[in-house]
Amino acid sequence: MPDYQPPRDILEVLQHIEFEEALEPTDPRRVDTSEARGSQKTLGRLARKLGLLMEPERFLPLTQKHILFFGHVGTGKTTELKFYAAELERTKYFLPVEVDVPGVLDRNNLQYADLLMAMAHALLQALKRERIALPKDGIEELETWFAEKVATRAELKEFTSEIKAGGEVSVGLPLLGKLFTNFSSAFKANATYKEELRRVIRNTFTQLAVAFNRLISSAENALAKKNRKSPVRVLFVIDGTDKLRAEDRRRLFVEDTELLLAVETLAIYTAPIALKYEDALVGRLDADLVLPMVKLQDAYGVRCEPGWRAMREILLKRADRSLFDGEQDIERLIENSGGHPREMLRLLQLCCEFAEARIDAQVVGQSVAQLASEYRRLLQPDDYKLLVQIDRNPLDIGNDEAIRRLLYCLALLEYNDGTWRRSHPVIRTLEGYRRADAAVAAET
Amino acid sequence: MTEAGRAEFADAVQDAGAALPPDCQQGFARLAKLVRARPHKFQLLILDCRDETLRDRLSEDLDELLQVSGGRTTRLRLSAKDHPDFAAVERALTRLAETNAAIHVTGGSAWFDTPRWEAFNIRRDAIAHEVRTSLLLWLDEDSIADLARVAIDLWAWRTSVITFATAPQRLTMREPDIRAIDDRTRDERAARIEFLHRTLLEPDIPEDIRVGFALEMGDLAASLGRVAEAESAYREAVAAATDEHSRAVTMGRIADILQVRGALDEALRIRREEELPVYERLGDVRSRALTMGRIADILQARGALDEALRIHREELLPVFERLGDVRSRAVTMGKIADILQARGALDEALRIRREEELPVYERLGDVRERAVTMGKIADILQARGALNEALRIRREEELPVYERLGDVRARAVTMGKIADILEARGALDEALRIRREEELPVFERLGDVRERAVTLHKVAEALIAAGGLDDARAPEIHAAATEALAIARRLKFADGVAYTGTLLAQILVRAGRIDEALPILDEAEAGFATLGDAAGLEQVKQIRGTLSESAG
Repeated sequence: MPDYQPPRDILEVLQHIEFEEALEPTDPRRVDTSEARGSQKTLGRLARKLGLLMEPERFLPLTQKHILFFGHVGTGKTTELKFYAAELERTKYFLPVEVDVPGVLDRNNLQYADLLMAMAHALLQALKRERIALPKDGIEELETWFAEKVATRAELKEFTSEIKAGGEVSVGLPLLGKLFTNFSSAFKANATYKEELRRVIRNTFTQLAVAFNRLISSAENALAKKNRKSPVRVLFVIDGTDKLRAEDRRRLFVEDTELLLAVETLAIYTAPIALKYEDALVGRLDADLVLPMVKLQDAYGVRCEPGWRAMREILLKRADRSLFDGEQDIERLIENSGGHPREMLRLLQLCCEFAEARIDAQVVGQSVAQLASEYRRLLQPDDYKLLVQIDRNPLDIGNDEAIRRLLYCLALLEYNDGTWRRSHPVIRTLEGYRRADAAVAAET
Repeated sequence: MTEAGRAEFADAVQDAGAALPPDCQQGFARLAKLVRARPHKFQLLILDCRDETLRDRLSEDLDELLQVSGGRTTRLRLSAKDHPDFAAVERALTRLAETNAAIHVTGGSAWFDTPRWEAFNIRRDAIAHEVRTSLLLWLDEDSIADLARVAIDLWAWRTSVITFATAPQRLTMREPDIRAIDDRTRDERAARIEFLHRTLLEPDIPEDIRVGFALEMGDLAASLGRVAEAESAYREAVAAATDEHSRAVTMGRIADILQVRGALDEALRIRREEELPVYERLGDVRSRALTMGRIADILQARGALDEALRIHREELLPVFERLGDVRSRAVTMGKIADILQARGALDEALRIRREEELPVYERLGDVRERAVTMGKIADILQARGALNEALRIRREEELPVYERLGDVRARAVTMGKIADILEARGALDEALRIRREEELPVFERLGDVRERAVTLHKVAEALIAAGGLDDARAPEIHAAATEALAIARRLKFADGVAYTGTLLAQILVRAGRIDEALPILDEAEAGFATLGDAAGLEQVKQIRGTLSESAG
């Protein structure tokens, strides 16, 4: 969209800031941050994990691969994933199937059974979009599973009768479409029979997994014919799993790993950075892909120009340059974001709240102080000392619970795939931090 | 919005904000801008405001502002009765969001606890989806800290946090409750004192009985305002005490007297060194809790409200609940309400008075505590401008009780509050008469120096308002303010030093005695700093500014 004009009015800027909004690859506000993050190779690494060598192009996919994609909340994982999915789709080796967990499931009470049904639902919708019909043997096992394991249960009579209502959808893909739609709705809406459905899925999981795998491979065969490329793989892009409750997250990625892996497919799940450092996260999930923060400086304090350029571009796509009094105000906003895009948007929003017409040094100062005061409400007295110690030795720290909490709440930001970390810049303006700094200095 | 519409809105915001306290104007402008700029969108605005009077004013101003542009607003007051769980709140919000551009949610500081914050956190997706409007969550600092700690994902969803800070109101220390339920009339008590006095003169009374009698005599004398006689009786009880528990109890009574007199350091020492260790050693959890309550009273009077509140909530309430001591629980809830009231959390304070105190005292037949609680309710009504109802309560539900019980101190304090109402209505002469004739002599006789200081301050203010600085009443004004400040210094009451210091400094400046005024102004400034009173500090700054200008 070459005509895109960033808002030139403070109220208009304020109106359009949405912290939860992910940008589509074609959105004019999207900025390529790969150089700024040092993540030029992230897409290549992801593709390789999926079996695709980019240059020269060669596709050797594994039967199944389940990848966790880590990153700070609000750092742009969804936006980047959408871009990666679009790039991978362009190769015609993949059909990305997006599962928006917050949109289709109850992310505050989520189990693997729920996710499996949502994946099946999303796959059928994608096939419908692609106008792909499946042969009978691709779906009959799922039909059998439903008829034998679900429809026969008295406890699920209500659920079954809803599916069977309307004679025109009694067989084939339409039945499955309705089946998985109703499963997802039941899980999202906390229907009375939700627990029973979960129980059935868990107890009959082997049969269901086999049937689901047959559905996927049948879809992939049909896609190969359509794309005239072989092989073509379904790639599930599961977004929002970074925002699950800790216990659900743990159950999904730690306790139910074997269930995840029983599905022979390629899948990528968003995951919070703190999860990367939980001891229990071991096993067969691929857990080393991180979306790095935009780097404004390196571990030794040397300024990284690509980071500043990218953040400036992000900022000026949300608010016209004419709204800023001077370059120094823009620089100060970027500096205090720590390279975190959402934090910069938060600062920009605060600027719009404080400013009358233009954003000047005083407004920026007020915004930084305001954001700092919000962190002050979040931090415990001991946190300051810990942050000071990390800042003094950013390359050599542990990953205990306190550090994971600071990472989760963005008080501590991680750079370069986790090789070094720094406290959020606004926190360093707080009196508590300064006092802790003086105390640590006196100790050493 | 058009350019002209934007300018008009900006002007309207400025006009509406101009009448607000200076510290609140910018926050109000931010709030108005956010609500106006993001119609039909879910946004969570966390508003930090302890002072409910101020909150109501801000809400009304915002509502008026939005109504001009056709935006409807509404209120949702959270209460245990209407909202047993968060699901009920979600249903209410969903319903209200259909027709309103903003929903003011109040009562959250008391309603939300950890499970309810967790429930809100869990339902945030659904709320954001269903409630397409501005959710104005009015909380206090403590509950915002809980929100950030317990519901970190919900916290991350905040659109903005806006603080509306005001200084806490002056807090009067409640006199220690040195008697159990006792509805005997003044004459009955006087007769009992006479009997006890005669009995205690007998030399061969067993010591344990002597202790009990002396304690009772002290309590009765104290209840009649005969403080010196009470102290003498308590000291006799201490001398006769045969075990460490009864000695500690009696020392506690002496500390009560010292506390009333304003000898807070000594009272605090007795509480901490002569009472607490004994109760802890003996495992007497109830007495320990009561003593902690007395310590909290002293801390509260010295402005350490957070610590006082913590003691009441964490160290007293659980003990009384465990013991099933409904009266002590009600008293403690009352003290919590005192602090909330001082911080402007009037709705919650009123709720506690009506729902958690009054019914208990009525059930127990404790007419005095009922009257005291009604007086506190009248304080809230008075603060909200409902002067007629406040006056009715003072005259019909408080005074007769204190008169019947012979509680001269409580009667004098109540008369002082009646004088406050009369002053607010412009009946200055009658108010001044009450202060001079019905308050000051009583406090002097009782040795209640703190109430005397407060009354002297009010006398000085009333005389100044009546133009007294320009006539023969000027020396009386100066003397009253000087004595009040001296008492506040002695008692180490930061609020007294701050407010009366500022008053005296202004009187001295007016008389051209700048050199005398400056050090007093320094003291007042330190007092305001201790209280965290930004408005007071600003006032001191303005006085200094005036002095600099006149000097330059």
